[in-house]
Amino acid sequence: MKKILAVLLFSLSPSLFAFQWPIAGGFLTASFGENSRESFLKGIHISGPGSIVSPFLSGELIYYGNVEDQQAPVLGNVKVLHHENGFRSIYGHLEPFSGEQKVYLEERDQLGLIGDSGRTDEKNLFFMVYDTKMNQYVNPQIILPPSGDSTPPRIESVTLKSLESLVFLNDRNSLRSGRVQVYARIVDSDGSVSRTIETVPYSITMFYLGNEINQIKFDTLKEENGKLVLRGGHPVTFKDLYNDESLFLGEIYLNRGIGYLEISASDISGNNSVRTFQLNID
Amino acid sequence: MGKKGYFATLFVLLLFVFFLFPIPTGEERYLVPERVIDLDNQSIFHHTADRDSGLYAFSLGDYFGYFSGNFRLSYSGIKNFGVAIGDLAFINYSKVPGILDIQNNNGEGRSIIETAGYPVIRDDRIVILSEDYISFYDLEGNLFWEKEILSFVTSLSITRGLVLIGYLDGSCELIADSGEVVLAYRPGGSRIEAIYSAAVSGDSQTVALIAGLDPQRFIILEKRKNEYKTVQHFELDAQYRRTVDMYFSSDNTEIFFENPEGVNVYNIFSQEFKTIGGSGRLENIYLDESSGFYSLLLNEGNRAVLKVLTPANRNLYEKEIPGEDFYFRKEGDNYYIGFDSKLMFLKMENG
Repeated sequence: MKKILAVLLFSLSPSLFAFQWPIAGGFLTASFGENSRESFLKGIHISGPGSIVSPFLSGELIYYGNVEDQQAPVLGNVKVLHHENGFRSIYGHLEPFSGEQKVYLEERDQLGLIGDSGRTDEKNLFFMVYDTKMNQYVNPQIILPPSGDSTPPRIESVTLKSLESLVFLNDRNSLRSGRVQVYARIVDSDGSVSRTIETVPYSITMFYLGNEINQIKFDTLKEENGKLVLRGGHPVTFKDLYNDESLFLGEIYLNRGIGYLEISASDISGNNSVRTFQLNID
Repeated sequence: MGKKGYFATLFVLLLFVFFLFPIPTGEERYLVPERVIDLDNQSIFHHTADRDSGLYAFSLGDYFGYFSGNFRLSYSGIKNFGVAIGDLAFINYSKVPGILDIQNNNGEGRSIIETAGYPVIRDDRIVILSEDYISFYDLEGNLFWEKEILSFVTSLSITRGLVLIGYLDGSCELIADSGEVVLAYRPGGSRIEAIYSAAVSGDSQTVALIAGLDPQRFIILEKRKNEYKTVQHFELDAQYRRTVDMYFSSDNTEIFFENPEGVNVYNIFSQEFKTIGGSGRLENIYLDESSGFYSLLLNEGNRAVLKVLTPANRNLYEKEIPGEDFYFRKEGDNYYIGFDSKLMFLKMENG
């Protein structure tokens, strides 16, 4: 029931609330749920032509701190807004700020300036959205206006791994029967010719013999039994999903004969890539 | 001017600052300057002090280091990006995440931790906090525990074998060396739930929190048998939307934190509140256990005010100190005060 409500909230959000990118003309440099030093990234990194950071939605400033005023300033200079819909938005790595802070901010207000405060090596905004009603981080791209991306994700490689072998799949492949683990390297970009930034796609689905085996969606991150779990599709922890630069998509059993393995990957704008592999199994 | 001449000039200037307008206070107290060190004129990585009396850590502006009880500089360095420092060891870390080099208070390498997190050192323990994990180490780099965290950490308090973590989601956790969560608590009761300050006493018997908005509350929990129970809570007049530094007195009887008019002092035994001092951000405060006098340094932006107060908030001593970066430590009657690149050693004497 909660899941249905969350989906409803996401789908209704754009019409109920006027969400905007915190940086006008901003673009993604790191996406929600990607591998961030052995953990899921709980927000997105945004760069942009402008330097002004505005609230993604009108809200109340409930926390602020420059690096020197915090006890562990992992996000550098930071501000946090609380919104009427129960969301909290977090803005990190800002330029230092001073003086009395405005408590209630509209979308047109300046929240801060994009900076490189804290332990980061480049100017960017770290932006997170936390849903206090569901106690989970929400992929900001679900609720922000579309970025105009028309380039689908690239399925670069798919690997089948068993106890005895490691096979990089081509269009046609000869394999032995048995249980195998499926790994894929899939990257997404916004199609810009002026920058090459690779992120994870929004959704990945694996089919075998026409049946959906697994779907991974980068919708939300929620703590379950002390672990962060990526939710949206099949719930998965970081260690279960990431394997070096590949994503673990699940296990299949190869029976003798001809089988078709299909991997489908979509970005948040709905651009989709599909690769199908013919498996000849002895 | 030679080095001796430079020190002599500084010393004269110091005397000038502190004695130009002496304030008569009745129960007179004087801070008598003993020595001053200008860190701008120190060669970096300088080790000379006698180390037998123990070393005190300092972090002041771009500088950090150690001095002995009789105020001989033992070690000084310039911060790479930031420094986590305790009396036993320090980590001088760079802006780009990677490796943390734990060094003894004489600068010798001790151990290395590979992490992207921020280090905090207290006594012989290191807490490393990243966006995703909080980890607890000893100075040898041995990991006690690591925990994945969901919420933004607003406050940290470390005492022997315990870490208290306050989260922006309105909850807090007290975690032991073993990794056992001794206390998981969410005060609630406010329109906006958040922890703005969390402190655990040195004897680990008391936990103090500043939590929520509308209202913002000061909450005390005490250890009863093996559980922490809420024993008091007060609504605060001022509502902070940032981390508020909170301190326990060394005898664990009083809790200090700032308010716009001064410093709140809460006595755990009498359960009474009082406000002392004046405006400004509390840099540090000490309670003299025998006299009951408070010594505090309040940071007002481009100056700080050093005060010595009676338990009844009567001024025994007050002095303005110009600067932007400050440091204050008190050991007995010895006062160690830093402003910008200057470190001073003063002795409290009765009038």
